[in-house]
This record gives sequence, C-alpha cells and structure tokens, in this order.
Amino acid sequence: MKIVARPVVVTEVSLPQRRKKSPIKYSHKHIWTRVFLIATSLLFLIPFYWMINTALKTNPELAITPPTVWPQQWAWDNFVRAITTIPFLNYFLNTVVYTVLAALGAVLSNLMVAYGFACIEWRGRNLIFYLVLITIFIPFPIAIIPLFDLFAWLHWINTLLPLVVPTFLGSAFYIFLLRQFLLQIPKELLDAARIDGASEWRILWLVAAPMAKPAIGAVAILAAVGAWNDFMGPLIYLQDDSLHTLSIGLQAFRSTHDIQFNLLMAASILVVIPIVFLFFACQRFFIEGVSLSSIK
Amino acid sequence: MKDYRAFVRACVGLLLLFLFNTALSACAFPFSFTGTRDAHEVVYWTTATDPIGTRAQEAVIAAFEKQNPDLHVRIVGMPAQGTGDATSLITAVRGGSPPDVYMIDRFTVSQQASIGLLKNIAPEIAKDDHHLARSYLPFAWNEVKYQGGVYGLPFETDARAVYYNKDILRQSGIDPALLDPRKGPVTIDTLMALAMKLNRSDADGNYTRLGLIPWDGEGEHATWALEFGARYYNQKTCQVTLTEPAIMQTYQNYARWARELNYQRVATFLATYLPPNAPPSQTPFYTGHLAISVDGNWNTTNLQNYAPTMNYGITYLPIAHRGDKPSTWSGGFAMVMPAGAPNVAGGYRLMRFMTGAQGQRIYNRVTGHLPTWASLYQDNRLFAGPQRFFQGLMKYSQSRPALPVGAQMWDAMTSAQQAVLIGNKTPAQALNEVQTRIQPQMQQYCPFKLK
Amino acid sequence: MVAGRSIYAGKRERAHLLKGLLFISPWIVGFSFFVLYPTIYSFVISFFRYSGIQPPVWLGWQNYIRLFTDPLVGMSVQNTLFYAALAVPIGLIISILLALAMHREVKEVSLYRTALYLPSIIPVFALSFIFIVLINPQYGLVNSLLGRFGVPQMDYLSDPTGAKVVMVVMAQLGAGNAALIFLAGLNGIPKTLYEAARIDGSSHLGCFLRITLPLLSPAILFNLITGVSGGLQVFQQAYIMTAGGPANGTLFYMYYLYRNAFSYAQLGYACALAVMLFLFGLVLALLLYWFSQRFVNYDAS
Repeated sequence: MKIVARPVVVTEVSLPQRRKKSPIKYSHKHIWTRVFLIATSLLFLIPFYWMINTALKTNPELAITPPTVWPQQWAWDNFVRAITTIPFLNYFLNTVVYTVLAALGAVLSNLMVAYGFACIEWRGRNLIFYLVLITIFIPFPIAIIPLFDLFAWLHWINTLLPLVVPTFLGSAFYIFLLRQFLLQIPKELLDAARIDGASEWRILWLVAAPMAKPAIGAVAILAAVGAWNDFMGPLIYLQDDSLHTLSIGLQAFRSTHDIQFNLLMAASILVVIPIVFLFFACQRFFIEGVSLSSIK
Repeated sequence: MKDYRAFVRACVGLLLLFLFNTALSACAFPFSFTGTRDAHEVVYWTTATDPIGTRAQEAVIAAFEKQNPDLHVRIVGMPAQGTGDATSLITAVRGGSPPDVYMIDRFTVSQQASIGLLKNIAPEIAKDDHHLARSYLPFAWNEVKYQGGVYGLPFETDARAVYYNKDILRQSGIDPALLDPRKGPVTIDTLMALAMKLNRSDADGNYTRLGLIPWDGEGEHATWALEFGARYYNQKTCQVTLTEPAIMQTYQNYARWARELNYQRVATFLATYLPPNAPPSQTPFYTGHLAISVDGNWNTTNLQNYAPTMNYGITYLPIAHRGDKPSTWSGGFAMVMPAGAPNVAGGYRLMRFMTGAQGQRIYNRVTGHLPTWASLYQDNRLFAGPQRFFQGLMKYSQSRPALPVGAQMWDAMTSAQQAVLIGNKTPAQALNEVQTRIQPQMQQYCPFKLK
Repeated sequence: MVAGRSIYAGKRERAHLLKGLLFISPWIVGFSFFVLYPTIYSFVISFFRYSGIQPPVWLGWQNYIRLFTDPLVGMSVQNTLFYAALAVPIGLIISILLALAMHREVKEVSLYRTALYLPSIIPVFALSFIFIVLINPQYGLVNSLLGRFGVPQMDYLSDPTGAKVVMVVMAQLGAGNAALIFLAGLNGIPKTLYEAARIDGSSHLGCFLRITLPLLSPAILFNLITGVSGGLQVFQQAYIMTAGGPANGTLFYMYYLYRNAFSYAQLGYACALAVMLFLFGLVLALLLYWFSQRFVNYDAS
C-alpha cells in the first residue's frame, strides 16, 4: 500500500466532480430497485414506528397484551411529562454544547493534521501515517483506566472537558477521511499558491479547506452524531446529574424495577429529531465527502 | 517563517479557547468543577429509585431537614445494575467527587471497605454514642464491620416467605388452609407437588398459568442454600466452600425443577406475563397467572398498591424435611460514607438520622421493609396487617457471611444458577467453576475472620 | 515521491519536516496522551494489585496467570468471537446490498437514505428496549412472523446463544453507516468502465464481480477494520439488555473488563485484560495489512 498523491492532471478547479443526474428511466430494473428499497426502508423504520406508537400511549394502554398497533387515545401530554420528568432542557443544552464543540474540534484539528499528511511533503510522513492507521485498531478499553486517572488528576471529572478536549487533538478515523480528500487537490494548485508567497497556514484555510468542504461536512456530521449519541464517555465522566447529556439522561426513565416506556420513547424521539433533520439536510456531504479510492 | 507565526497564532487561539472554558466555569457552566461545595449541603446518593422508595426517602429527609434547619440534603438517584453494583460510587471516589452519604447493599460493605472505598466512621460513632452498636440487630451490625472498623450504619432489612393466591388454590380444588402458617412450614416436595397441579397450558403448549417457579423472584440460590445450612466460608482454612453439600443440593434441585417445568417454556411464560414494558402492577402473581411465589416482605406493600383486592396468604418457606425449623434470610441496605466525602459532620448526622429509630420508622412504614433498629420490633404499628407475620419470622432469619469478595461471589453464583437452569452445565461443573474463580480472590485477604 | 523530493531538496527538507510536524502536532499531542501514555500505564499497572484508591501492590505475573485460568475470560472471549464472526461479515454483506440499492438513480433516493440511516441514530438505550419488545415471545413482531413459518415461540434473551444472535441482528440496524461509505465508494467508480464491460458482453453479475467488487475493496477494507474493531469491543447492548446474562452468555470481553475495573475495582487485572486485547488487536491489524496487500485494489485504471 504505497501512499502517494495521485498524479492529477486536471487543472480545472472542480473537485470533487459531481456526476450529472441522468434522466430517470422507468424500466423494470427501477421498479425492482424501488420494491427492494421500500421494503428494506420499512423494515428499518419498524423501531421508529414502535417508538412513536409507544410514546403516544397512556399508561393503562401500555399494559394491554398483546400491545395495540396504534394508540387508541393519543397521549400527547407524554411529551410534556417526558421533558418535565427529567431536566430535559438542561440535558439538551449540555448535549448541544458537547456536540457543537466536538464537531468544531474534530474539523479544526483533523483538517490541520490531514493537511500536514496530504499537502506538505516531509520525510517520514508515510511512516507516521501508518502509525495513525494502526491507532484505529487500538482498543478503547486500554485507555479507559489511565485516562480516567489522568482526568481525575486534572480535576476534570464532572466537567465536559474529558469529552471535549480529546476532540481537539485529532482522531485517526477523521484524519484518514480528510487526508484522502485533500490528496485529490492538484499539487500544481498548491504550488502556485506557494509561489505567490502564501503561507501553508493560509493555503490550508483559503485553498484546501474550501475544496474539501464535502469532506469537512462529513466529518462534522459524523463527529456531531457521535457526540450526540455518546454513551460511554458521559457514563464514565459525568456523575453530577446537572451535567448529564441526553444519551445517559434517558436512563432516568428506568428505575431498579420498572421502566416508564412511553416517557422513555417520547424523550428518545425528541433526542432523535434534530439528528434526523441534520442528516436529511446534509446527507450529500456524506456521499461526496467520503472518498477512499485515491490511495494507491 | 510565516508558517511558524501562523502556527503560533493557532496555538494561542486554542489556548484562548481553553481559557475561555475555564472562565465559563466561574459561571457554573457545564465546565464547572464541582470541587467547592456549600458546607450546609449534604449530597445523598441512593440506589432505591422506584416510586415507593423515592417517596419514603423524601419523607425521611423532610423530617431530617425539619430537625436540622442548618443542613439541606440533595438526593441523587443512581440506579444500580444488579446486586452489589457500586460502579458509580467507585468512579466518583476515584474521580475525587464523591457524595457524602451513599445507600449501599449492606452485604457488600466489607468488600467496598476492603478496597478503601468507604470511610471508617468509628471515630464519629465514638464521639456520638459508645453503645450505638447495641441499638441494631446483631447480624446487621456485623455486616457493616470490617477488620476492626465500622464502615456504615445498618438501614432497612427484609425477609423471604411464600405468598399464595387463595382463590386460585380454591378454584383448583385445593384447600388454602393446607398452607396456613399456623400449621408450620410444609416440605419442599409437598409444595412442589401441590404447585404442579396448578399449571395450565394453551393449545400451543405455552403455559398460561404456573403454580410456582421455585427459582424466580426471591427463590434465588441464597434462599435455598442458607436454608440447607450453607456456610459459604471456612475461616480456619480461609477457603470459600461453594461446593459444599448445602449449595450442591440447591443447584441439584434447580436442575431437577428446570427439567420438570421445562426452563424454556417458563422463560417464555415470564417474558409474556412479566413483559419488560409493563408497569410494576403487571407481574404474573398480581394478574393471577402465578399462584404461588417466593417473595420478600416488601411485596405486601406492592400487593396493597397494585393488587389491593387479591385474596392471598403468607407462609414460611418450605423446609427440606418434616419437622425442620422454619427458615428465611435477611439482606438489606446500609448508609455509608465514601472515602473523601466533603461534608463528614453533616453526612454523619444524616446517616445517623436515617438509620435511627425515627428515620427507620418513617421509611419502613412507607416501603413495608423491616427495621434494623432493634427496639422498633416492639412497635406494633409498624407491623400492621400482613406485615405481622414478618415480625415473628425474624427470629428464624439468617444472613449471608460478609466476605470481601461478596459481590463477585454473588454474580458468579447467579450465573451458575442460570447455567444450571438452562442445562448448559451440571451443578457440579457450575459450582466447581465458581469455586476456582472466587477462591484465588479470597486468598488475597487471608487470614480473614468473619466476626 | 521521488519526483517530489527533487524539488524540495537539501536544507529545505528540514523546513518541510518542521512544517509537517507543526501541522500534525495536534495528533502528536493526542497520540501521546490518549494512546502512548495509556498503553504504558496499562502495561505497568497490569503487574500490580490496584484498586485505584489504595497504593498499588506488586504482583509480578499473577494477573496474567489468573487471566489464563479464569473461566470467565475464556467464556467472554468465546462470546466476543462468536459475535464478531457473525456480525462483521453479515454487516458487510447487508451494507453492500443497501449501498447498491441506494446507488440506483431513483428520484426519491434521499428519502430511502434517511430511512435506512435512521436506526443508526436512535440512542442505543432506547433501541435496546425497542428490541426487547420486538422479540417478546408472546406478542413481539419477530416471534409472530417466525410463528407463521412454524418456528416455535421462544424467549431468545433467556438463551445464551439466542441472546447473542439477537444482538447480532440488532447491530444490523446500524448498517446505514457502513452503507454510506460503500455508497461513496460506488460513486467513485467511473461509469465508462461499466460501459466498456457491457460492450465486451459481460453480464450484470460479471460486472459486479470484475469491476464493482475489486474497486470497492478499499471501502471494504475500511469497513472491515472499523467493523472488526467495533465487534471486538461490543459492550453497550449487553450492558443495557441482558447485564451479561443469561449464564454469562452475553458477557463480552469488554464488558468483563469494564466490570473488573469499575464494579470490582480490580484495576490491575482489568489492565492485564486490556493489554491482552491490545496485543490481539495489533496482531489482527498486521493480518489485515497483509490481507490488504494481497487483495485490495487501489488502482482504478
């Protein structure tokens, strides 16, 4: 696996090329594709259907066996109860702070590192890049205990710092994605900017970053979704319930003996909705931003 | 080196970002470090977060705050995962942000004390009342002692018994008077034979009603093993004795019962009638799908709340041989102070109040648990109605030995119980495995004396 | 690269090295604190008895000896391998199928993408409980569907193997993530290749095997790496759904490690477990590297 920049001869700045949509053909092939897509989509939507179905049921209706397939009586006030049973707004704000900072940190640090690997040529960079790749494999558990002690020593337990600070220090997975994308930038373009006297730092932000927008978008969304749903991190580092994020705040609906199912699901829907919109709006980034084909 | 300057600027930027965060911490934003705490605040973590338990603790704490206007208590719910799980406490102590008081499974006090998780409160007790130990039931006090220190104050306790639905028995032509506690305990064989007659299945072969599931609820390993005389530990050799006859007998019974009732069918029955999404009122016993159940004394409160019209009786756990003494065992909780608790004086006052006569009276009246404060057993108001039976039962009660490997041992014995019930392992295989797993851990504490 | 070096020759190389290191410095800091330091720390602590509260006591190799004789380690390794061996390949196949379907030019494809991605963002805590109800023996959807085909009702979570299989199936709902990576890979394959193949008279299957699959191999390798690494660290579902039961049937390696560290406060032993996982991961990484050298095609031409 030699890792070198693909010799790009394109001079036009039109990366990445978006394929033109061909006019839709209504052939049998598409019918079967649709059938398959609709069937799997429905299958994948079952959990979501069940969430809504449960979220809108009253307590007595929940106890009916077999469960009703649709609420007999729409208990919209479950949503109100869900956000008043737990300090929802508080958790929501914590989660938003964590998510925004994590996405910001992931983009800033990883773009910088990826630029260092992709656009500056220095001795030993391939060797070190292998090291980056290997760290994807290092099991997270080996770090749990030492990091906990480190953060405890820094008095960071019960703050968002142990969750946020690491996102500003690079992550192998995102470095990998961004590097692949930056490698597609024609070297001539970078060299031209260098000859004009721009510093590497300026080239990163003024030349490379605008061209890598899709990849940056992908990293931002992946990091945001990761932080939004992070379970293990908050579980270990945040004990004070005023600091909890939504992902572990949901646990409050389970006590030792029972679970308030309708409220849990109502709250979960509220947790999921922002991410659904984010994804629906930005999915293009995912597909354009993730490029794996250019390593040779 | 323009790049270099740009890089320095970026570093300064990042530094500023962190400084900004630190500045925010002053405004108690999510970044704030909770190291400084109000001296008048007592932080109390509880593992009992069910509705009844929460109500009871709030009542006790309201009474405490009324008597101690200089202190206010913050209750934080920390639902535990299974017996003896103190994960959140361990994390908090290691992270330097423990609560002042923690409600813990009393059986695990010595284990948590052995790793340095708890504060020895003997000095506080000495300042307060030299004879405090005598106020509690002796077995409960034993459980909070570890190697000469005192690591907590006993809170509530409990006892196990057999609950039976008289209406179902009558419908099936069985006279409920057979189980009347005034006649003393029946044998295990008698009870099982009687229960098997109550089983009903539908056309597909699924159980729709069961007489008794002898491993479900409080029918777990310790209930039977203690009744058969299990010691668990030999302090002369410093060995755990998990393959001893009493425990072996228990697991052999499980294997036989699982065959007779068909474990998979019972599991299906339980998943059906004890569905995970059901409210607490929905257990097979409350809904009339289970005729007889081994359960704790607290079940009387649940019955009152969730099945108030049920016509039921309570009797002794069945005995191995005709003529044996009745038997039961008691567990329960303790109030402990984690190592490094910021508010020692305030925390001790809260522990002392909650576990004292006043606190336990309020708590146990709401929850239907039993007190460990000995003199409360003279208070008949605490043992109204169905609870009366337990007032008399306590004299037969035993407890588990308080070993520093208690939590692991309990987890391992529970897994072994599941393996034997499923039929994965024979009782001897399963118990040998537990023995080889636990003994090396016990070895680290040798020599270890129980009293 | 050789051509590159001739441009930046001599003393300028030092400047480039410095620049490069400056740009990757966040990673260097992160690597030192989150990889290097923890690894060394864990290696050291694995030779002690340490509760994290009291001072550590030297044990020598005892933790490692215990590790090889502890029946639960064997059990949890078996469980984890069972899970990974099923979940990873099945996950790859399902996500490739999804990606191929999403790649078709259907007008409303963005709706399908969202629908297929949706389960991967439902909080695990909620998803686990949804699943518990879906597989309920009496009224759960899964059992009533299987019942139509004559499969007897069963409480899968009460059986050690069944519970693991349930978790494998549940993991497939997260296939949307991997599918998006494949989709990106598919988008990178030039259309002209297919047209050429079609002229040569290749069938659909032939095209798939000779063009799509080889050119997708970087994406496959990538998903394989993340899949294996995730599969070996499976934990949350078992923590929430079964607490490791029944009969330790879902006590995965990572869960046992977590228990030792945070429930029993046996940090030395937990670190020894972590070190073993680390070594295993390293061996696996090397194997995958070797594998990629032989089978992964990075050349689109």
